[in-house]
Amino acid sequence: MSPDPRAKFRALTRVFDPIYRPYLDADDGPGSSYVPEAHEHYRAELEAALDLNDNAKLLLAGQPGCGKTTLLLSIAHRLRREGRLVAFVDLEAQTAVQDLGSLEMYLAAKAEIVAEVKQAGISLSEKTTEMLRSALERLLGSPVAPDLDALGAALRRLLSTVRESKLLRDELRRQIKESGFEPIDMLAGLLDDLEEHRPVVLLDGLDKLPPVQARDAFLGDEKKPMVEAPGAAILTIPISLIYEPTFNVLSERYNNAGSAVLPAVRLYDLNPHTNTRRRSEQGVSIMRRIVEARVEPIDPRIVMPEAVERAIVGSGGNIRELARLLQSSVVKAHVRRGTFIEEQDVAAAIADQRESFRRAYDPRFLPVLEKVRREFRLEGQGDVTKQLLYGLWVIEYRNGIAWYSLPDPVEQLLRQMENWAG
Amino acid sequence: MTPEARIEEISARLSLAQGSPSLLVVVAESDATLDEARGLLVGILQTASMRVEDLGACDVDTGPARWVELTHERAGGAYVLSAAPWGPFSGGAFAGLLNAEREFLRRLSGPVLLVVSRETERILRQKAPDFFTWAARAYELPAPAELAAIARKLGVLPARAPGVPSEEAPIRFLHLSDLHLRPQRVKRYDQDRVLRGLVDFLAQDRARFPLDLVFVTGDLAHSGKPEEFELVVDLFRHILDVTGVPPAHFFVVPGNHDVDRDVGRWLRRTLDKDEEAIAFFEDEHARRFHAQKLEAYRAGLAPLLGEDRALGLGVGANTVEVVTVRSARIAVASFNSSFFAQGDDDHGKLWLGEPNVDRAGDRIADEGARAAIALMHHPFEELHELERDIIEHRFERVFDLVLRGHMHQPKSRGIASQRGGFVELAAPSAYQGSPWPNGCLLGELFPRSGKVRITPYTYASGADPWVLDTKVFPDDAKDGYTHTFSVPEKKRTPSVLRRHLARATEEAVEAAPEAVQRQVAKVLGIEAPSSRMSKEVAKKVARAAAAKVDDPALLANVVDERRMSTALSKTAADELEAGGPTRIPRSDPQFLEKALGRVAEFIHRKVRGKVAKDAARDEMLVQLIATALSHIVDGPVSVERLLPDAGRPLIVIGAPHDAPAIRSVIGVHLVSKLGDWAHNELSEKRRERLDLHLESAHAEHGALVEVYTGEGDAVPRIEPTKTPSGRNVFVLHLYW
Repeated sequence: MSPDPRAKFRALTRVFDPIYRPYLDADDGPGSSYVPEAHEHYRAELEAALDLNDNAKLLLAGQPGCGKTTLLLSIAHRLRREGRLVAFVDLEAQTAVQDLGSLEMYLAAKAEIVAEVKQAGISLSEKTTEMLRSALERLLGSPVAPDLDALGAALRRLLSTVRESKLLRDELRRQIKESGFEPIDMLAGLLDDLEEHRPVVLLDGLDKLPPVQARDAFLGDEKKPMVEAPGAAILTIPISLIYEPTFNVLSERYNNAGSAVLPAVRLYDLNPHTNTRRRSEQGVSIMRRIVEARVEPIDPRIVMPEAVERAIVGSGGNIRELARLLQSSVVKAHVRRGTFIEEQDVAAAIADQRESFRRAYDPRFLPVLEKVRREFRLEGQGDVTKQLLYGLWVIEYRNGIAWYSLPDPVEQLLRQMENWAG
Repeated sequence: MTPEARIEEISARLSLAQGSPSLLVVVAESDATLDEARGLLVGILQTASMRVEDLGACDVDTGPARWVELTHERAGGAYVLSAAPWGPFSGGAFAGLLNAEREFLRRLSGPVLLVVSRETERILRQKAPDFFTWAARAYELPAPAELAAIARKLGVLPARAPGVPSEEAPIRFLHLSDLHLRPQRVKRYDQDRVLRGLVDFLAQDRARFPLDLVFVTGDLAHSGKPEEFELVVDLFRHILDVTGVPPAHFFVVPGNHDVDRDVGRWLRRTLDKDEEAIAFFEDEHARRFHAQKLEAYRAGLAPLLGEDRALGLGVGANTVEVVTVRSARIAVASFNSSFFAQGDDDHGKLWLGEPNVDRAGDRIADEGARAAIALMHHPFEELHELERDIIEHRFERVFDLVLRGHMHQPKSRGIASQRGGFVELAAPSAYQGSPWPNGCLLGELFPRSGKVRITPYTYASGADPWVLDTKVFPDDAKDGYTHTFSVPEKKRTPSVLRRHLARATEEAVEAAPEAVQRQVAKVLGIEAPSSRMSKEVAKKVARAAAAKVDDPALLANVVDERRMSTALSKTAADELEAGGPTRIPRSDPQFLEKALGRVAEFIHRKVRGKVAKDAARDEMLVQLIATALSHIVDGPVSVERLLPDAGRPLIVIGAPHDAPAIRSVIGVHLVSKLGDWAHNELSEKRRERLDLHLESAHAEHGALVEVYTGEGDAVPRIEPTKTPSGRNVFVLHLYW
């Protein structure tokens, strides 16, 4: 042990920050500190679907912080190595995701594809280039040169103007509607042209659509995002959609697409017959690996094993939460002038977290949730209930073990109940 | 967690996260105190050994992308910024922006502390859940008062936020007067209707206009009888209930109808001479019979409002009560103008007492109150002619707001004079029968910007019984019939400083050559005999001059440097010795920074502006700061000339044989102009010299105190800096 633990604490604070991404430290894609086991099952399923069907459309949902984006990035990395053309579209960075229209979504996808094409050194057919060029000229109202650089720049320019101004967005949408031009056609043409490279579009950020808009986009009568596009795609969707009764229909629209609800890492297995739960060694060991992967390059002995155990239980299986807890524990240990991260630090961090959680949520929720749980006898009753319990909001929170953001179905249920009462 | 522990943890977290991107959310109580809270927080965090940069209030149409630019521009260890999206609509848009730009957070050059209100936090949690899960931690910020206490303990003054100060939250008060309550058969219903209407009005108004203070300026009862005060207490209890104002923030003075005239029948009707007034107001024994006239008043109100309350029953320092409203200290002096009230011929017979007002003024200056309010029942015109003008002039020096009643007429005026000035408000009668106007005033006091906004209300016997009175300020229709008065700034000299300066002035004038004495006499308007001045006349002139210490220009002309220096040093000794916090041990590695903070606070609060700018001299400042330090730091403080060739004396903390770690050297410099090129050049030279001094004195800690006498009225600040040879030293910027 070096005489100055502070430098190590500083390094630990950095790797446990919720902002930190392990793969950013690695030179090429997810580095050594990425733990693929975390989502291994889901990842295998998604990858198999993509391998078997070049036109597969897959849906992915999950709580904030459960690793959706990390999973997508890691899949993208794998597929690129296989030689496929992968466009990872970060809708949040490129569009006004709170007011997202299909036009911007496809524009963002095109911009990403064009960038990938250029990087991979592939050339587009003249027909496709001309189609893109003329369409962009019409939208921008200024000439665009028929080469990849110019097309990419034009796409980005269009995206950024549309992103900044609601007025321009509406104007553009009106134009498109009047011209009878389908926004997806251009993307479809582009993807058709690239068919031999087995293109995959990863749309990250659709899960940030506001609930009403998400319902309209996916469950309404409109055309579903990406459904008509050739090639494979993975879309992140809001978790609230999963609980909609018409979700099965959605799945059919996407050609019975595989869908994965990416959970937090399961720490407990619930036995519905005896209504008891057992600690899931597999889940716990995944979480332990995640911590080890981050701690090891610094000093494997600096975090006590009991502290890790306590933090894992406290995280409730949410990876970002686990990191946050450990970071708080490092601060606690530092303030205490300790040299190791001990269990007491984690306990103090958990107590603080619970306190701020209690403050942040409307205290009216607690008795109502308790009532929901009691009256609807939620333990062990079908899938929705399992999801509810999965959040384990009421029970775990009251036991003081874990905490969660309020799962959407619970919130909807509460809203309904409030409406009945009002 | 205690507030201190929370602050310590925030600080520890920031220092651990230095250099790597991280986001911390800090939640303050409300948007109104956001800037203040941020300023205090920055000040506190800057005492830790890292560079904390204040990024100011962030525009709500810029998000993390802009923060990234700012953090790279400033290159500090940690950054603090606040955001206050206005209203739920803008809050939603702001949340959307933060969520969308959150990827930028990874590019921050260090940890960022985002200060938001609880309301904004709620919106962010709801509308930007992902952004929020990226925050390493959300901390609750201690209340501004607690923060200020911590800041004071650490010896830092609040850092002033750059940019435009936000509008300060006003202190809201209700001014009632002349209720004339009595148990009456005929008009019982009428009285109830008007006053119940008032209570209902206050209850309704609570959400829009939450009251902080209530003032009632006399004539609560009609003839000072206990049964009348039962009604008064009943009404006041209702008002306390519906407004939620604590009894300690409810102020009352008696009026001529609150004295029991039966008791007063055989007592003196007035005083005839100044000497009598001094005896009456300085000797409690002399007042004992007159005080009994208010026994029913006291017996009725004290149980409700508090047995130790002033209630206009005390004199001098005892008239003053200081309350803290949202971290602003407000002094309220409750004067009894009704000692000599008896019949309807009170005019010109009433005394407020000059010593009474003087002692109250001293107490207010010593308390360091931000605003001072005087309550009395009668207008100045009703006072005895011997003291009428003097009292009014004294008020101009001390008070910001004078609230009175008696005339049953709303009247308001702002006075600005060479002495300062005040805003005088006379409330209308709250109840004099429904056929006559019944009214009250609601006020908003802005102590920092020196403004008071008055909204008059009147009884209108409709469904909405109390309505805005448009007749009081008919010219202010565009402001909704409210009027905003400016309150002139005051120079309140603390009594300790005044005492020492007065002594110095007196000595100086007495010792001065006759020509000077004559000049002083002329300035003061004292007639000096054309022949040789006698000792008595000189003494009289000296005493008159001593009474004028509030005029810094006069002092500068008369008092020499040595006397001024002594007076200031004595003030420092008295002020810092009496009840100051415990001395800072030199074993504390940050003792010098903390001690300089306390010196700065003392000079800023107690001395600044009281001594003319051109009277300041290097030696005087060295003496003053050395004396102050000797009462702040645990250990010997001396003034020495360290290098034989350097004419300038320096302050040395620590004995010669002490270890360098507990020794320090401080250089003091007068700077007449701020920020010019020559100054920077000089400042560089001074740091060079400080290096030499530190070397020769075997001291580890060093500091430069730069005292600006030019324009500018800024808060002092301490900056860490480096000497040319790389030593870490501090520069304290002070404004004289």
